Amino acid sequence: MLRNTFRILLVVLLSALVFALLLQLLFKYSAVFSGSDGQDTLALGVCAIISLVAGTMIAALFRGHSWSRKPVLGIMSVLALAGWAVIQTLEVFEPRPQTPADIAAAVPAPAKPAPPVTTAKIAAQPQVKILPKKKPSPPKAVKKQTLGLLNGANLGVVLQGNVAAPAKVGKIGTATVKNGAVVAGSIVSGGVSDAPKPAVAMALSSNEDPIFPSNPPKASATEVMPNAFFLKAGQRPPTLGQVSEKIQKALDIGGYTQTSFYRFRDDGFAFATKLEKINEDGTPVAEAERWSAASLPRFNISFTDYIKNLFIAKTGYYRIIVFIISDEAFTQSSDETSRDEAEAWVSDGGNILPLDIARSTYTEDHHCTALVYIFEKPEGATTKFAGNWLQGKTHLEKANLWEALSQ
Amino acid sequence: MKPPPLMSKCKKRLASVWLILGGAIFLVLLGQSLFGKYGELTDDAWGWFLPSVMPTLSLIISVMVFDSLGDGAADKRADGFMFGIAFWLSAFYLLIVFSTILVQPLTSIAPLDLMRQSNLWLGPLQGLVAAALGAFFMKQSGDAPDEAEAR
Repeated sequence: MLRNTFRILLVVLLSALVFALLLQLLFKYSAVFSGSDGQDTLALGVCAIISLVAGTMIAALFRGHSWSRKPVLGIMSVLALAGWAVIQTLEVFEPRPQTPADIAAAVPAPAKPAPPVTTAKIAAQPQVKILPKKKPSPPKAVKKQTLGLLNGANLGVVLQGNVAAPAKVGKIGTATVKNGAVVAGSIVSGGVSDAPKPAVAMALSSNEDPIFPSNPPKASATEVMPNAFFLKAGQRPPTLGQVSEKIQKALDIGGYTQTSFYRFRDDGFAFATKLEKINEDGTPVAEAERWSAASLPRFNISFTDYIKNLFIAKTGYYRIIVFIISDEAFTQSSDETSRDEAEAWVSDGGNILPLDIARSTYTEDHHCTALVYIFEKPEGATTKFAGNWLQGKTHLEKANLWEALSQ
Repeated sequence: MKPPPLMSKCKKRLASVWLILGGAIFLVLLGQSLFGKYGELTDDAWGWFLPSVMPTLSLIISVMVFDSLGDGAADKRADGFMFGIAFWLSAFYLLIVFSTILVQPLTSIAPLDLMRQSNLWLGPLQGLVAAALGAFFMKQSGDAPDEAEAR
C-alpha cells in the first residue's frame, strides 16, 4: 500500500512538473501572456493545473487506475527531464524587471552631506540626463550643485522631472549647472517615472529666505481676493505684516494652525496651509480625520453606505491652499505638482515673515491670490493631482476662510 | 451505532460548501471588479483570490468528475471524523476569505493591503485545510454499504 501511494505521489509531482514546464514554454512564446503580469498569470495557471493533476491522480489511486503504473511513471520522468533541459537551454526563467526599489538600492548613497549653496534661480528648462550609477565628470567652468528634497536639511537645488532614465522628481543627487542652467544631473536615489517631464529647478538657500516658485505649479482652482478685504476706506493702508496677521487669524478660525512663509518674487510673500482631508463638496472632514493622511475605521456607517463602499472605491480628497500676496502679476506653470511636493511647502518655509517684507505697505497694486491644490487618492491607488470641480471662492467659503477674511 | 457516512455523500457536501462559499466570493469580487473597486489593481485582487480558492476547489471538482466517469463500483464508507474536520475547516477557511472582502469597507486599510495582510493567516489555514482534505480522501473505512442504504 505504502509503495503504491509513493508511486502515485511521484506520478502526481512529475506530471505537475511537466505541465508547469509546458506552460512556461507556452507563455514565453505566446502573445497572450506577454505583458508584465505574465509571470503572475503563469503562477495561477500552474497552480490550477497542478491541482487538477493532483485531483485526477488521487482519484486514480482510489480506482486503481492504470495511470499509476510503471510505464506512465517512466514517460513522465523522461518528459520532465527533457522539459527541464529545454527550459534551461532557452533561458526561460528570466529575472523579473527591476522595481523602483531595486533601482534605488542599486545606486550608492551620497558620501558626504551637501555643502550650503547660494540662492539661484534657474530659469531655463533644460533636459537633464540622469545617470543612476556613474557620475559624469564636469567640464571646466561648470558649477556642480547638490540636489535635495525641499524638506531635507541640506538644501540645494531642487530638481523636478527627468528625461533619460528611470528616475523621479527631486531626489538626492547632483546636478551640473552651466550658465544658470542644469546641463547634467545625477540622481542617486530615485524611483521610476512613467512620463518624462521638462526639468524645472527651484533654488533654495540654507542661509537666505526660502523662495516660492515665481510661476507656481498649476492649481486646481484660483481666487483673487478683493482688495477691500485688506484696504479699508478711511484707514491707513496696512503693512504686509498686518495683512499676514489678518490671514493668519482667518486661518485660525478655519482650524488651520501650521503655515510657513516664503518670499515671492521681489517683495511679495507666499504661505501654504497644511494638507487637509476634505469632502467632495469642499468642506473639511471631521477633525479627527482632517489632518491625517490615513482613514479611520468606520463602524457606524449605514447599510447603504456599506454596500456602496463594498463595490465602489472610496476616494479621499486632500487640499492645500497657497496664499500669495504680491504687487506683481504672475502666471502658473503648466506643471502639476505632486502631493509630496505640496506637503513640503508647509514644512520647508520660514517660521516668520521676513522683516523687510513685513514692513512694506500693502498698496492698491497688491493682490492676495489663493491657489487651491486638490489631490485625490482612490482606494488602493496612488495620490494624484485633481482637476477642479469647485470654484476657488467656494473652497474658501467651505473652509470658513472667506467670511473671516471679509471682516 | 450510526454507520460511517458514504464517501460519495461526503464528497458532495464538501463540494457544496466550496462551490457555494467560493461562488459567493467570486460573485462579490466580480461585482467589485466591474464597478472599479480595485481600479488598476484588479489583477492583484484576482491574484489574491484565485490561489486562495481555486487549487482546493479544482481538486474537489476533479475528484467529483472522475467519480462520475468511473465504472460505477460500489460506494465506500468515509471516515466520519476526518470528514468532519475537513468540512468544518473548509467552511471556516472560506468564511475567513470572504470576511477579508466584507470587512474592508469598515476598516481604514486599503483593499489590496488587507488582502496582502490576510495572507498571513490564510496561508497556514489553507495548509491545514489541504492536509485535512488529503487525509479525508486517503482514509476511508472501506466497508461497502448494505443494499438498503445504497438504495
